[in-house]
Amino acid sequence: MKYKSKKKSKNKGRQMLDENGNWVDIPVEGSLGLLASGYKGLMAWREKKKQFIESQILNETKGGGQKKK
Amino acid sequence: MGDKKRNKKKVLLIGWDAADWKMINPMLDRGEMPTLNRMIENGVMGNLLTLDPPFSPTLWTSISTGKRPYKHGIYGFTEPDPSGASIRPVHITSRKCRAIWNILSNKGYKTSQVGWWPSHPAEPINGVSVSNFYQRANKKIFQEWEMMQGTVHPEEKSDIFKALRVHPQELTGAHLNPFLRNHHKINQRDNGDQRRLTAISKIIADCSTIQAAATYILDNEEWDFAAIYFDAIDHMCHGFMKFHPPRRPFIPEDLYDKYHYCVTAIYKYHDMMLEAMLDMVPKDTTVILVSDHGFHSDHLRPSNVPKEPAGLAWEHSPYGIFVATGPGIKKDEIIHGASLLDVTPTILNIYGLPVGKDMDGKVLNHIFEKPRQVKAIPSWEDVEGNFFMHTSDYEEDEESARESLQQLIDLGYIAPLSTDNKENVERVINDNKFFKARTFIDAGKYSEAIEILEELYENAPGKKHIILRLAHCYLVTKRTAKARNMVQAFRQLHTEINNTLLVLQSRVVAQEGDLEKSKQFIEEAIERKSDHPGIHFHHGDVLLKLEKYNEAIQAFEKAIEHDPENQNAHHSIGKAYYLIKQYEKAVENHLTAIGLHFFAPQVHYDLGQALEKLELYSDAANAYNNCRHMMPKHVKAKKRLFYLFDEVLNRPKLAAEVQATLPDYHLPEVVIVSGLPRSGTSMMMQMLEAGGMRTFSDGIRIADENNKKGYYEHEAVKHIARDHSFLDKVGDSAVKIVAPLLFHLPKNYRYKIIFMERELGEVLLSQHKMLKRNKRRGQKETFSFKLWKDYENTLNKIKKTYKSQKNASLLFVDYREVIESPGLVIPEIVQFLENKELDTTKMLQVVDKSLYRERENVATE
Repeated sequence: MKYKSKKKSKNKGRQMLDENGNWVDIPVEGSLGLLASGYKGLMAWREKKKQFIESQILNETKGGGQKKK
Repeated sequence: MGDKKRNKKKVLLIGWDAADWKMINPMLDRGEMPTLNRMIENGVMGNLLTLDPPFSPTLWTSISTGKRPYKHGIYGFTEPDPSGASIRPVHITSRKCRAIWNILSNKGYKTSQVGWWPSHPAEPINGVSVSNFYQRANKKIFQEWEMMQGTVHPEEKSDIFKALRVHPQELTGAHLNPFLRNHHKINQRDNGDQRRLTAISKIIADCSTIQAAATYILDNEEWDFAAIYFDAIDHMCHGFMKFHPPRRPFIPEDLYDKYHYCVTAIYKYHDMMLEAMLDMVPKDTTVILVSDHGFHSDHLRPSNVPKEPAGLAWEHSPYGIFVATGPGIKKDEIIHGASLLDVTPTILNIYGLPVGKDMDGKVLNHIFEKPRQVKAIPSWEDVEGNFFMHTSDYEEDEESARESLQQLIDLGYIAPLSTDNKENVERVINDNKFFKARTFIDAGKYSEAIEILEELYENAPGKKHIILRLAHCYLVTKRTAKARNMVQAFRQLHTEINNTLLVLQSRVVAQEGDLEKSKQFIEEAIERKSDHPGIHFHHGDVLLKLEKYNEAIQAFEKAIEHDPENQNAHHSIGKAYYLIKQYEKAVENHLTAIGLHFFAPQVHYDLGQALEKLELYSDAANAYNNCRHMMPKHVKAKKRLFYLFDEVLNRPKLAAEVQATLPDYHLPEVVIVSGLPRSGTSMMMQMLEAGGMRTFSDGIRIADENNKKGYYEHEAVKHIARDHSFLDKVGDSAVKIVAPLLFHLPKNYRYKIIFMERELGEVLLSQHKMLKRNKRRGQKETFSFKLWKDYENTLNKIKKTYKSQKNASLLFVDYREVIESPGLVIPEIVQFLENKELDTTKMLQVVDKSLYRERENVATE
């Protein structure tokens, strides 16, 4: 698998295209393919992790608030 | 330099430490390295011969400079820090010459490098430099991971690269599982499994860091030349090659099950990284992929490594990989004869720049579709201007590198440190001296190696690795008596007989002339353990000397069966076939040997001889030509070449050119016996006289108690500085001229100098006693240290002066060896003088052991 870069957009964060121009679904746990693709893959993965953690925190916050309610 | 020129030529040099075709080829066949496969189809591939010792910092510096280690000054993994109080990993500031990125920077090219070993502190090149300390994580992931001072040039880009580092603890199962088989069986509570997983994580993280930095530079920085170095294959192999298939009986099955895929996986990962890099660079970029050495992956994997400095390098194999693609480079071809020393000259040539004549490598002209013009200058070191290097007043951060030492210890490249810093520093200094001696041996500079090894041996006589190298050097330089002493030294360390001892004894007795005994020793070794290629090679060598050619060929073939890349064995088979007049087979084997290792002047010479027998005169001339270029002092090759050009090929211009490099045969020849006073010069004169040669002596100084058989001197010789006319009268006699007077020899003669060598202590003691007997000195019992140094300097100066003189050839004869083994020395003298009429029996009878009076005295005083 090889990746091509897509510049960071406001809505989607850093994303990647594969060689056929399709959006790559970046796994939260990362992959060797992402690391092998170099700095872009690394940054995209870190971005994904960050988004995931933020969403987890958000969910927890929301869920916690409901419980209290 | 404008962008227009910058866009014209781009070269990307990628280093994969320890990559080996023996691992890669089956993977290519299985389609597991598709990117490399494409690169090979579009370019050339071949072996890349390494150097000895095969240590990465040393070799990668030779790759980036085109020079052997004794020229670039990087000998090992560690060095004393600038204060001399402690040790540190080797720094780039110890490199004594300019690297390819310095030269290209000087020429205005935008030049970057990442991770080269060594490259810390990052040099201020005309681009980006990221040092080899960049990727190492030395803190837990939740701790602040600082970057050492000097890691990135230019410093203002440090933050960008700091953010691109991958921490081993950042990795997940998704990264690690592709390296493991049966990963569900891994028990993270088990110390061994935990340690191995940590090692794999570090390796993946480190090379992913390099990949991130490299791709960032290729994508975002201006560059004409970039050099990117990955150490991951080497590190994975050192840790996990033992688990690679096929499983050997001593490898536990459970560990094999879990870790046997690690090495294959790291190669696959490199192929993926290569793909990403190739996608980033313009299509007309020249891409060169090299490794510094290979790594045994088959039956040649050692089951243990010797206890010697950096002994782990015994796992390395002598051939790395070379792949190149790009404009003007041949497609889908295999090339032969490349050495890692050739990489820098070839890159310089791609940019149209001259090669330094002081570089040891050559331009790999045969990789190009059309032969390229090779320009040369004496040395890049003499070129004025900014070469973008550290200035001499650069202040190094002594503390910075301490933690990186641990990495080298973990890998097994250096032994764990003592708590005593002084002891560590001394060990490193001695280890580096040992490595330096090995670099001299590798280059065939045995005298230089012996000088270092003798010093090390004197300081630490119980080191097996020093004894064995010293014995080898003595044998190669025909100092048999000294080699015999090394056998004794070895036996003192190992009372039990082993194969190393048997091989050594076999070589020594062979040189002493007892070939049957030599054969017995080696056959005993074969009976004890027959699967060592060295043993079969030596067996073949002895059989060759015994003129048992067919048996010799069989022995060499066994050595090749064990290791098909054994160049010496192929060469020796060629020699054997030549001797039994099967010239085609001789040529075939010499060509195989040359294909494995091109820089082998004697093989080219032997090939030339076999080709001549087949009447392929042009090819023979090419072979002799290669030989003389590699070894300008190979007179026999030049003589044959002159003969072919002059009398067979009708090439008068070329014949004249070769003739100009030959000794001036029209000049009268003088045979000289020389040496320091009391080094055995009179004895040698007496031997020559007994053999039937006339001696040039006036008989004024008659025999006395000091020289009971006479001095063989001539008064005229003493005045040579102001009058050398007596040389006309010498004719075909031998004349004795003491060493300090040799510098006054005029250039209008040819000289054959038999130079007597004797331990300086013995010489001085003998002189002292002689003077005492002559009552020219008081009762002082000690001799002058200054005189010792003066003599030492004189000897060094003579060696240096006459090494390069076209009209003089020297034969060094060891005094003790004449006394102890005259039967071995005399044939050498006869051969040197090219005087077969000398009566060797009478020469032998003259040697009087009772004259050797100083030996025991010296030993006891």
